[in-house]
Amino acid sequence: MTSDLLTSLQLDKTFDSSRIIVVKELNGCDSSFITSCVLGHCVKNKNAVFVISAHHSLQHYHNVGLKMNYNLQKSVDSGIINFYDVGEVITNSILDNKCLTSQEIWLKIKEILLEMHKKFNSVNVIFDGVSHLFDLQLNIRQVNEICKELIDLIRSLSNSYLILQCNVACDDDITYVLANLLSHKANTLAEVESLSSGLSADVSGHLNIKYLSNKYENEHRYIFEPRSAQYLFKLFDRGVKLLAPGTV
Amino acid sequence: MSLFKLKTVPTLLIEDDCNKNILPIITELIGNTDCILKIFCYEQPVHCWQSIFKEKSIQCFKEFQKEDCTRITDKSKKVICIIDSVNQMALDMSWDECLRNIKNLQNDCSIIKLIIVLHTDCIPNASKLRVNLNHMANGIITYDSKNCYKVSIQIKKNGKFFKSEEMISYDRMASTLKLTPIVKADKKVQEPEKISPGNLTTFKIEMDQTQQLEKHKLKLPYMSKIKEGQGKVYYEPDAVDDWDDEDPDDDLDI
Repeated sequence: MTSDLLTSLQLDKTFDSSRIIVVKELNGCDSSFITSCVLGHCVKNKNAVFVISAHHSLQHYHNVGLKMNYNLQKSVDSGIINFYDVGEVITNSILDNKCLTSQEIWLKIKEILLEMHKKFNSVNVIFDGVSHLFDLQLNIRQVNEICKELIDLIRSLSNSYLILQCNVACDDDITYVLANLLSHKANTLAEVESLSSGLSADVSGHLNIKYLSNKYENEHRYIFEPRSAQYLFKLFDRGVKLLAPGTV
Repeated sequence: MSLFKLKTVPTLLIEDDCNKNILPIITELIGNTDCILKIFCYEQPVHCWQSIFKEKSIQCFKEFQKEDCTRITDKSKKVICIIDSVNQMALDMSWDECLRNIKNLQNDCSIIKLIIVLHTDCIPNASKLRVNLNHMANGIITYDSKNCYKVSIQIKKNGKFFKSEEMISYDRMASTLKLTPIVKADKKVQEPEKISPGNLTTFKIEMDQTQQLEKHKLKLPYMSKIKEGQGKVYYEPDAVDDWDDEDPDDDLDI
């Protein structure tokens, strides 16, 4: 039930160059189902993943993974998946009254990433809750610096992808600025939005995927509007189903 | 005509957002020039720009360093400079230093054209970057937020100001980009529409012509007597009624 989502995000294909995927959470929607689907795909195919989390804990993803029929903890124990709770690290440094600079945070992330790349030759990275870095006393320059370094490093590695999940509080908030800054660098942009009319038993929300890097290809150079695909999605215990608009 | 004017502008600011494709207009503005292209790639990887301008002499830089502007291998050639995201540049070095560097680029004689890309959806609320860049630029192309094909063009040249709204299109047969001015139709001054009560409810309030005609035809049984002056009210008080001839409102000072 996750294959539709992975195909839409082009994660089932192999590319020569690395890819940047940005997931925007709009209108209070949670996009952690994308992380769970990607983790399930990587566990099944034995692909190394480095999860940097400022939002959900390892226990959360493990519990979801068990329902989706994969054991995340086992993969973490074997070393193929590395879970770095950057939120906990920064929170502990704040509570200990220590100043942890963005440079120090980045160096720690880089160290783990390069170590994994050396061991497995290809590492995919998922950064969950980038916008939570603002809650951890980092400003837009610092957050942008961490993301920029991470994007540049992934681009220098071959056959890797980076998924950045950011929540947008509202249109005049700094999280909106950060989400757009990252979107401009992305190859693929996925906008996950709750239903504006409320809750529904049939549909969990809207998923709008834009393929922004197509404009650099010759055949799409003179297309003024980026190619996009709009879906409705429904979350189940064991996965997610994508539906075409109007079919529900 | 606007495209020709834009090509002659020394400093051009392009304002877009993540749903817009500005590559056609950048490619058209650079055209078939034999100038050296210097691109400051704050956003896209170097290979993307190299694939777009593969037939040109191109130098790509990931960051702005002062020496990058002055280091030109072939001094007989002029330079066209592109900053692919001034938002990222301002975050990298602070916005006042960014503006100072842009000013230095403008004053550099070897640079014949400076193209700056500003993302309007990436500007923090209190930022004055856009205001300052609008002031510094000789030409501004602003993409409409809702329509990918609509642009607003402003050109400041020789003390004159030119402003127009145009539709952008690409002719695949002729391989040319076109900017077509939008002709605004004269809007007549219209009176505001009167609010009809019938439009405010889901049930019918007003009567149609047939119903009005039937209403007019209907004769009420007592109306004829009233019109003849024969209508009168007879009242006989009961035994328990306390009939009072005085005016009950007499105590009021009306």
